[in-house]
Amino acid sequence: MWAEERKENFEPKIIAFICNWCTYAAADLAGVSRIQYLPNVRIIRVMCSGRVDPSFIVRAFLEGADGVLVSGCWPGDCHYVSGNEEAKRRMDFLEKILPMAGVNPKRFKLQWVSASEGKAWAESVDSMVEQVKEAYAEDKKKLEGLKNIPAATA
Amino acid sequence: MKGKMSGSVLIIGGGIAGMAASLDLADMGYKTYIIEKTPSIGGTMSQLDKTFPTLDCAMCTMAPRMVDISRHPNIEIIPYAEVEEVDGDIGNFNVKIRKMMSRVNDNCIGCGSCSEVCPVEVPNEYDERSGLRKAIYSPFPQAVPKRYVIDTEHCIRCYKCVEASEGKNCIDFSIKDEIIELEVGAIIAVPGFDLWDPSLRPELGYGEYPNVLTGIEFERLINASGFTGGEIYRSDNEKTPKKIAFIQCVGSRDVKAGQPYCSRVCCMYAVKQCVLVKDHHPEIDCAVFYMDLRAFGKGQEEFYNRAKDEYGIRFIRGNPGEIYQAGTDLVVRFEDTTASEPKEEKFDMVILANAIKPKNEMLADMLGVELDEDGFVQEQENNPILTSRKGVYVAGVAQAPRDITDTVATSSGAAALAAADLASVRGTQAKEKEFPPEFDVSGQEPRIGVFICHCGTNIASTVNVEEVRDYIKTLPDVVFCDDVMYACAEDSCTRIPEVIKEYKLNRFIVASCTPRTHEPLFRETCQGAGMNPYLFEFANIRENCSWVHHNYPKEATEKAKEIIRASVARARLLEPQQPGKIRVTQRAMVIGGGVSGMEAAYRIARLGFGVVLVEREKELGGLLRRMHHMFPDMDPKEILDEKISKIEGEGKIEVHLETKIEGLSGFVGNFDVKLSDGAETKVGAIVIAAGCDEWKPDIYGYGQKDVYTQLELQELIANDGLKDGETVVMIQCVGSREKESREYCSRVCCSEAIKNALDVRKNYPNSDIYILYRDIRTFAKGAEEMYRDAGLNRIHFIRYDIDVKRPNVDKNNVVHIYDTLLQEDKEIKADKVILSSATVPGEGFEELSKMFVLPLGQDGFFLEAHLKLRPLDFTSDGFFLCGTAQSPKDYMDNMAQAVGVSARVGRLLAKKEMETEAAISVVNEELCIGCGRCTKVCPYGAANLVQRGFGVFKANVNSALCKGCGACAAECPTGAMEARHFNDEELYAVIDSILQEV
Ligand code: FES
Repeated sequence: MWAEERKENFEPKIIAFICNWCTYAAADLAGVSRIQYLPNVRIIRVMCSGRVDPSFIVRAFLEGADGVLVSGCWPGDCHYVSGNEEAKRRMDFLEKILPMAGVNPKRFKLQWVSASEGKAWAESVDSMVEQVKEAYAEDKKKLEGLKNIPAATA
Repeated sequence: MKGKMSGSVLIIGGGIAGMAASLDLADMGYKTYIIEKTPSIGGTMSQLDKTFPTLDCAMCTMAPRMVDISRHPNIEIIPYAEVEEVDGDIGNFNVKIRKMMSRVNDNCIGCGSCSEVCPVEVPNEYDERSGLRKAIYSPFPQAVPKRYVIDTEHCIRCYKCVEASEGKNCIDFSIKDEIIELEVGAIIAVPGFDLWDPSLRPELGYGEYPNVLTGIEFERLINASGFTGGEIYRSDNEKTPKKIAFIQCVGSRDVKAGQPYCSRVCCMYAVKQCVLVKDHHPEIDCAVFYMDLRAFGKGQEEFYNRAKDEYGIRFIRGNPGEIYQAGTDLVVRFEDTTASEPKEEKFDMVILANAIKPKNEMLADMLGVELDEDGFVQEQENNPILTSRKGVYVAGVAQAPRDITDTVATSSGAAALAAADLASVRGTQAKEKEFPPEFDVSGQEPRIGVFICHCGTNIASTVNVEEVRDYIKTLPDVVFCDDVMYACAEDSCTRIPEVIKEYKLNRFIVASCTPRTHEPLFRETCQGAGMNPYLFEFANIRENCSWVHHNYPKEATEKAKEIIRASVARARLLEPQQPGKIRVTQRAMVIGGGVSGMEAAYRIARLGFGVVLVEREKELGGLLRRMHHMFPDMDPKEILDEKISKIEGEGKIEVHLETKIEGLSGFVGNFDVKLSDGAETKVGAIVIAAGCDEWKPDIYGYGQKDVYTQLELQELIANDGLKDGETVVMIQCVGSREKESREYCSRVCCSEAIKNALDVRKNYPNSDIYILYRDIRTFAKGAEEMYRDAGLNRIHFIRYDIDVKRPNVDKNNVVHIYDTLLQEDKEIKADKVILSSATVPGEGFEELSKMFVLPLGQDGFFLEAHLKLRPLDFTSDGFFLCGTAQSPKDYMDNMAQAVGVSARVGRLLAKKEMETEAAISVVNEELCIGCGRCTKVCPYGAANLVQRGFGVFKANVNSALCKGCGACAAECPTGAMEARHFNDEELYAVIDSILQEV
């Protein structure tokens, strides 16, 4: 029944860059605790959220990702002291740029998740899926709106 | 000593204390056994949500250490076992151990299929009996070892688990208790603690009302990994409480209850729990009922202030006498001591901070260790780690209540003492892993092998493994692909090297569970076939897929294909990595010749390493020289003489007096230090043991005649400078706990003042003695008892509150104070005014911090790598700290840290060569434009600019310092910085592969 329903709908594909020490641990915990979440996410493990180069996110969008999630340790918890602060700085900047490149900001999210927050990880995936679907609907509407504009005559 | 010495150590207890000690010992080259009563190591800390005062997540910091332990070649965990008998002496103990029948044998791989089918549910001890577990269980998700046990008491013998585990032969009902024997050279006992049963104070309603909980029960309730997933609700009506009361000192500081001592951690964990509640539910009102708020440790007073000011947590000074239930409310009846009237307030949840109790029966009965009257271990020679039995050491709460920071220091201390006993046999039982020579893959086309794991039904019940296998087989460069029942089981692990050889594979992928626990195993397996471990790639299709997408078998199967496809894409690009090797100069420098520095130097020398001890003053001793009598009852002169003669007698310690550090170059293992006396020396490690000073007050009339500090009072008593019958007024917190200047608590002044007051009483029986205080923080062993004694000895305590009115000392030494308990102004004409002046960072701290690029905290003390688990290390490798350099502390706590730091140093110096991280960053100088951005983001100072020509700068990574986080690679604007093993090409390939259209 699930699959049936899903075929009808738009199912976004989300890439998640997550750090080894907190978020990946949380994802493990979600697994061990069998906390269920939507299968739309593909995890890419990096050692620290500070490794995430904004170009990875751009690449993902260019290659057709519907959403990108970056996640690492809560401020102060980073295994490498301050990598998450660097991530925050870079992602804040990226968030400003994305709309200019025509990417709905809802398609991107930065979220801190600690190693004991298995549930938070699951929720953050689910809410990301939700958010990207919203973005999809919004964009679709916009696009339709554009189509309705009579083409300019040369 | 009879018989041969053994180079191994037994650690009894697998909590954080035992874990810390085992890692120190194993790294120093001793075989270490951890025996643990429960099925997993981790102890109480594994139950905690976050830790005070930094709110670090406990599991985040702890889990990597648990995995380290499970993989360490020199550590053997013996879970679910108890000590039966101990014979022998220091150097060679013979220990009999009873392994309890768990009915699960070594074939268990922790898959959990058994637990899933078990029909029995019993209260889970890990959740303080609130959640449920099965009769065959592993106590918590991160448990180490990941081995299930059968709780035979509750097992109903339905044998469903046996069926579920078919073919693995892991469950065996014929297993009986087994006795094993070990020969060890030393024993470290870290039994942890018990908690006092609060139903022994029936008026508080514990056990009667469901919403009266203990602190640890509440901890499980608010823990994100707890049985409610961190949702706070009442067990009777499942509603979120609106008001929570926290009641302190339940059974502690209570002679009648049997615990006259302070439990030392409850004030801070209550504050922490309040803050955590507020973080999730700002609308919940939290009130803490306390007598003295003991926020004495590093960063704690600051945390307490934040709790009050930012979170609006109410702190009510009063001791609740009764709790009763009215409707659904819990009514707390208490006397507000600052208003001296009985009051009642309604709450809907009450948390009791019940006392910590010793759990030392085994120590006393089996090891014959002497206990004190409260049941804690009686320390010897003023050293909290030494017991009355030679070769037996304790750490953590065994000797007295302690928080994690102080526990970890004693653990390292115990490791150091055990290691020193066995220094002559160091390395005799330690193992290094050995592997065949690696084959060369350069220039070869990738030939990839893949194992896809069913994990019994764990993966296969959701993911169609055969379908995935057939798909993966079609991918380019995949030469071999097979599905296996259990990739980590013995049979599969023997097959991996075989297929690598047979198919001439140069990359290998296992698609199964999480790399965080299993990557080391598979890497080693590949190494066994001569493959570089970095050519192994992990695809997680269990935790990240089958386990979390039960309802989506089709999607999960597609997802598994993509996960493995992305792994194949990455594997093609993987390159072998080699850890660097650097030589280590096996000698240490200790800076600061006070008690901590002297002890640290002596202990490092006892481990067999040379030490250079540097002191600015003309003689060793530091502040100790200005003391005449120390709490609880020590003679500083005696201690000083003894320490100096030990240092002289040791022969390995080179002392430089009236000397400062002039310059430093080099890095971990290889420092070159220039001293002001002209000496130049090479050392591998540097310990900052510089001590602190007593603040010279500029308040309360200091400078006037007859106004002294506590240190000056000691001098006065020693020289008979008081007269009998005088009025002596002591003022506490002079310059400490001041938000504007020094927010921290100086930790030692309360005990110091009371001890001095008692000395005055003894020498001048007719004196009038007053102590004006804000909170009495007598948390140390014996201090609370001394405080009680002071009351009996007619020492008057008057409480003041700077938020209400500050005391004042006028020109005639009349002390004006508003007594908040009696609510009246008082004037006392003092003959002597004694100021308990703040402990302040030493003069040299800033200079040292600049020269060594070591951070100072807001409070001006040196900042350790991690307040809880690494209090004796700096983040910069090769640098260590101990004693008051880290924060103010008393003699005992200084001792623990000074002994402890020697183990941290010993770990580093134990080997002539040290391995550095293999997957680090490297620079492509052709692309580098020398902008220096990498140097700014590197948290370890590993990235630097070097001059390559006139005005030409290039980035350079010091492989000894780089930890491989990759922050520099993400920062580099030109792509010159490469994070090895996680480089841009690999990550792009993964992204592209996931998004590839099929
Ligand atoms: S390690 Fe998790 S963000 Fe740095």
